[in-house]
Amino acid sequence: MSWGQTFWAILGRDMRMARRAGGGWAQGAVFFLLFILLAAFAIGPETRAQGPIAPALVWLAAVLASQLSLDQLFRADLEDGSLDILVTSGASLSAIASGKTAAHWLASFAPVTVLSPLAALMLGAKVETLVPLMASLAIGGPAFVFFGAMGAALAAGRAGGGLLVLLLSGPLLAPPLIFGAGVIRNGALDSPDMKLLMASSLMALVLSPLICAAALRVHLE
Amino acid sequence: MQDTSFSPLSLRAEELGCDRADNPVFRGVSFKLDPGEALVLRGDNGAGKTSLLRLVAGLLPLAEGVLQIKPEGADWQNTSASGHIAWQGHEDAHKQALSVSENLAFWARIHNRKTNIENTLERVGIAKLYSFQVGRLSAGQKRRLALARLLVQDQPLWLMDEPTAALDGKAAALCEALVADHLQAGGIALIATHSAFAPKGRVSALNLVAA
Repeated sequence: MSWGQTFWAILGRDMRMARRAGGGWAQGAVFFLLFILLAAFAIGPETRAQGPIAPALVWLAAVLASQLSLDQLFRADLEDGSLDILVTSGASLSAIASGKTAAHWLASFAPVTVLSPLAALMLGAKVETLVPLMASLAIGGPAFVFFGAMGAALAAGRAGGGLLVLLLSGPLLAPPLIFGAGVIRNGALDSPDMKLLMASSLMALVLSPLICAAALRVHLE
Repeated sequence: MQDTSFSPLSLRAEELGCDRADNPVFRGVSFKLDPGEALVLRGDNGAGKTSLLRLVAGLLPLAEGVLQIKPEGADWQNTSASGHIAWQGHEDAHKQALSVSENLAFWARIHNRKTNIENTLERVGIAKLYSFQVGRLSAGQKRRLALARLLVQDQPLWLMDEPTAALDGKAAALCEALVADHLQAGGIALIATHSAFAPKGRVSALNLVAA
């Protein structure tokens, strides 16, 4: 069983489960829209008309939505014995972790990315900010989900892991959030902020599977 | 009989010792399994039956001793048996949201096996449940599905922890028959049990005593 085969098998299974009733793929998107709606009421029409705060709020909502239910990412497989079978089958733990995290990203963060222009318009954003907003969310998304997964893997075997996940991954989420907000302020797709955002995502994609694998290995003992 | 495509494996353990949280669980456990042989582990609660299974599976680190495998046509090697194992633990490891066939198809894919899932379900007596969601099965049906997974995984080494728990008499007999077929096909098995589990074939017993 190669790394890639394990990755695709896990990704396929988790996407299928996410699509089923109660799979929770809509959870992130619903939370995201609710956050934006409440923010629109809280800010009020006068401030909303000024615009520049809107993309930043959309970014913040997206980051929070990406962390929602992330603490459950590895828990089910650990508790129902699936992970035991996967590991004894010779499957690589980093492939398992990557597959699961990628599925979470596609199932819960991709809808948020797609909905983001709508959300920004609700907050009175200018039309020219919509493309940088969506592009930055698409490129920065992996950073949030994959850094968050590291916290989820570390907290998976512990009761009340939800808060622990946020505490562990919070500091890692700050830099990409700053870069993402920077992209929107500049409104340019080739700004240094965009490159740093891309670098954050690449770093998360490389580091996260290794750290998740090490953390899950400890939980199995 | 199930079609099998695994290649036979021998397993050897010498003076194994296991620690949990720095306390010894057991010491000096030795056994050897050649193709077609099974070992039934007995012992009181806490004697370390599950720990021994996890040790052999490579899920727990060895505290002392030597654990070796010998794939057919190769020499004894000190590597873990992972990649040759079909594991059946306390938990069923089924995904409630997926159907019976989807669950099995996933494991076949993980083990890179092409399996006729309908035949496998027929073999364990739940062919009618092919497209049922696992969340709607009874405890006994879930255990039968777990048995079906062992067949789908198609590996030489079966590690089974209390395989007859939650099974009625008929299902327990089925489980014994599956193990007997597995041994017949050249497989090996390590089975921890409290009940009178007695599959036909070359089966020996090992009584674990806590250290």
